[in-house]
Amino acid sequence: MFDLEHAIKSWRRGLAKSPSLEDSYVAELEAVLRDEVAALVRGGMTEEEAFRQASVGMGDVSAIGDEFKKVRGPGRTQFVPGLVWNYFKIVARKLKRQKAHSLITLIGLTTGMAAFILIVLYCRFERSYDDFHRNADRILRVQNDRIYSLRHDRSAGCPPGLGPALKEEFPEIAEFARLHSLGGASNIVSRTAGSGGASTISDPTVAFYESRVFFADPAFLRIFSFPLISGDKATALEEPEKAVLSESLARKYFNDEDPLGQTITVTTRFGRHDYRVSGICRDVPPNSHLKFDILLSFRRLAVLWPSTEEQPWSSNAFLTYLLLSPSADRSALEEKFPPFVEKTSFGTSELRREFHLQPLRTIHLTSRLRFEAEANGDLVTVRFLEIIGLFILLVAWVNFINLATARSLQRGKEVCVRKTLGAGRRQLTVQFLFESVFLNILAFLLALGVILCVHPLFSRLVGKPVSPADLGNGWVWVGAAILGGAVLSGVYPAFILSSFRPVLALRGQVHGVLKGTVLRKGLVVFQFATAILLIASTLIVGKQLAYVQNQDIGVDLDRTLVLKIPQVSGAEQLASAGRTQLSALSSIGNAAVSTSVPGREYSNAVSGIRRQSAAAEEAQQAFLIDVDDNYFRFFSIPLVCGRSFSRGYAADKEAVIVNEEMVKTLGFESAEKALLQKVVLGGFGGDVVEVVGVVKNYHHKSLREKIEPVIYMPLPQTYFRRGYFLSLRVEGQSIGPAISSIAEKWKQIFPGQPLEYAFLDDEFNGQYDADKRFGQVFGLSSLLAILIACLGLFGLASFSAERRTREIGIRKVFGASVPEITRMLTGEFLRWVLLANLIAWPVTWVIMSKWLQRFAYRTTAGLWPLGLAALFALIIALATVSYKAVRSAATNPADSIRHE
Amino acid sequence: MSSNTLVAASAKPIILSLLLTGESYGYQILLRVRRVSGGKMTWSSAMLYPVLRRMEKDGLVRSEWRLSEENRMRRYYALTARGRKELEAEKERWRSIQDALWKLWAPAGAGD
Repeated sequence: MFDLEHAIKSWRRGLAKSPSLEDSYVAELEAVLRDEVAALVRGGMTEEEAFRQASVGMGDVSAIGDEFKKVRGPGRTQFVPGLVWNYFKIVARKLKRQKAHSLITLIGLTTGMAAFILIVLYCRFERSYDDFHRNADRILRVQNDRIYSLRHDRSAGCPPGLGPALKEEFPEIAEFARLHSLGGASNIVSRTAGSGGASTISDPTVAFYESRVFFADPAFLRIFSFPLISGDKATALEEPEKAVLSESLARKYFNDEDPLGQTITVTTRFGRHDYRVSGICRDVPPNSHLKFDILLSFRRLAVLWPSTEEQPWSSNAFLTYLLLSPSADRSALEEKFPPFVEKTSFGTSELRREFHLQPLRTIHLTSRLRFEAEANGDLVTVRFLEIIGLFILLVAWVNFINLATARSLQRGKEVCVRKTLGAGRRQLTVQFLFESVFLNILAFLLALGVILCVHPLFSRLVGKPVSPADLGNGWVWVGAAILGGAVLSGVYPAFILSSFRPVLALRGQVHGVLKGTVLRKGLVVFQFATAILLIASTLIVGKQLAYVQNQDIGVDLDRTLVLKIPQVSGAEQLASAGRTQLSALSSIGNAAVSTSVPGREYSNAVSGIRRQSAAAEEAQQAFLIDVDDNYFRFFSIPLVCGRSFSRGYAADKEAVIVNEEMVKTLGFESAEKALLQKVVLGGFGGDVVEVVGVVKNYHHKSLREKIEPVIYMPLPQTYFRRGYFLSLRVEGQSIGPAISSIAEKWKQIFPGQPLEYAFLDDEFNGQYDADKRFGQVFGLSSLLAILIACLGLFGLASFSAERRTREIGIRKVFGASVPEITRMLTGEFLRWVLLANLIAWPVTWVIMSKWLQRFAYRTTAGLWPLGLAALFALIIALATVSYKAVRSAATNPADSIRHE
Repeated sequence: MSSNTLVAASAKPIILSLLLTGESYGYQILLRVRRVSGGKMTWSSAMLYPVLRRMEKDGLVRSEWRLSEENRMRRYYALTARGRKELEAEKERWRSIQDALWKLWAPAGAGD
């Protein structure tokens, strides 16, 4: 019995199969069919006959579909959402079935991304310095240039009168603030129990050395955004006895008590004074170029050091910051400086001055002046690292591309089955893109996990507190970059894969499609070139560090302990007493007192130095250290001629010893000629001194810096009161007991004063910490790059061996030996690595020579780091490739010929 | 009717003309085409609906599902303002083609 509804239903089902017919079309066609059937029935036909005729009249189902397809227009990509689940299934299956391949791919991507993100975190931190100040764009620091006939001295330290004078002269300067650092000197901060009453010297309850202590103008807190937790910003530094502490310092001295209004005692080179805590400020963020724990009122300094007001242009020891009014322009202001300098005439005949302005935010990465508030970062290093990070990420993606294409042999058949079943090329491209994006996202998530685990370690490595949280909306950029890269790196494999032609590929002739491997070979060469560049650079950095550390710096720092002498009254005598008493200890061999030790800043600098017979125009600048009669003997600094200081010479008051560099700077022909000559210290009121000895040059500072002209003055100090250092040579094997016996004696000589000591060789080498860190980051990066490159190479080698399975089998049948076949398979890869060397060498040479120029004393880039890097890359490549090659060479030919 | 391309080319003006007199649905359009051509033109629905769909996309017609008197859902098509304008343009085009052909097919000597 014919059922019309049933017939129409199955007819409709037939239509619904056609992919180009949507439901609404089907419904409409059905309406027509029903109308036609109704009309025919009315004309006298049975339902069955009417349906037959009507459905024939409607035309063939596929024809209908085709007609609709024409209307939809050609070439629209069909993203079929229903297939996404299928894509997922395919990826998951692939991950599960091809464990080794997936692991290699994922490790490569994850490592690359994690390294990239870590480097981004670091660089972002370095670039974020001083961003947190609300007025950051309007804050400038004055750079003070003093130009002598032979020397151009660039300093961040300005004369005390400069700030007020500039503000007076230029209306566009809204505010100025001067800072005077008490760092380096041995400041003791103490707090007496039961505060409010006068503190007693002998019984402070808490006492520490503090180095981040500054005298600051009241405007300082208004210009910068260092928020006060308690206290009033406007008045916190107004009165002379006031002090602002950082949060953690306040906790250190006051625990849970309210520090506001309490008294602290600060012992500086100006003596011992009480200050009232008038404000607590939040701890200075780590990305501030200026870090302080204690701010003391500048008005107190004016009292303690009257010359800041009486001789406003005398000393260059004041960091000077300006806040411009919103409309003012930095360069326009800077242009007005030369006439101002002219007018104010602080230049002297031997010295020309220039003032420049440094935008606050550029200070950390670009400023390298004398008198910086802290050792600054380096823009070049940051850029270097950014490039390295990008390279590692690129290498990882290159790897991904290589591995994905190499895998296409296996995927060929999948592609063809899909194609025969009607998948279009675009649809396949979408599928493969989906796969690579999926893998990239997976790797990205893994990389995030890795970062969360290793960022504390990384922070320690780079010496900066780097945290993933700091990136903020930078994550959007990183995410976008990674997604973009994922798509880009997915395009090529997707293109290759979807281009397989079913007929050829099902017959196993995928190779034809893969012949265009130039790109992939190029990519491998790129990977290896990068890796070689990084390895060679690491070796050169290491070589330079070894050079500077093994260089004879001309002074003996072995087993030397340095103690800071507290700046209590009579420090001079106490230091001398300490020297006598401590050197009497059996564990101490020798002792010396001085105002600076190797590795530390010079005690002072003085300008206007010349031979008495020379004209004032020839005056030079030099650095000063005050030393006792034992200093040169203690540090094994040999005398070239003349004599050392002696307690026996009463005339030593006007005697100085100079180094060879000073002899040269003053224009003497030889050390002997300088002996017993009179020298004028123009900067110190024209005092005349006599050279009684010349010592050999030694490196007082790191080998980054040139050896400077130095004048050694006899203790006691004549011109300034700097902190003293007591250097001790420890005898015998054990350091520990020596230190405890020193501590014992210390308590007798300096009751109640903290003992702070350091090993001089550690301190001196500490100057290279930044370079060492740079080397470590470099080393780590290169290790990662070579790891990723090897993963890629391994993948390619497997691919190549697999592709040639039958060839290998046939060659073996005809008598080829395993070594021969291994050689054949590895030869190709080795050629690529050699090519990579040719590219990497000159680039490395150029880059690293530039880096080395930052050291005043340096080794050459040399050939062996390049050779070693090449050798290393070759060995690694060989090991990777031959593992696979030997395995396929050793396969039984019967098996391999049956292959395919 | 012979040439497929001619059918395709004429479909649009014919549908527009039919709808000028009022809204209509697919099957009715097919019937009216057959009738007006004296049975010489027999369109299939496979041909008609894609054309309608494209015309709707181009904004020449609009459609609406409605219940018919026979109590079945039908999609009714009506002319839009743009459709009217398009019809005028089509008329112009076809007229010029017609003129040209008439002239060419006229007995020799007449006109040029």
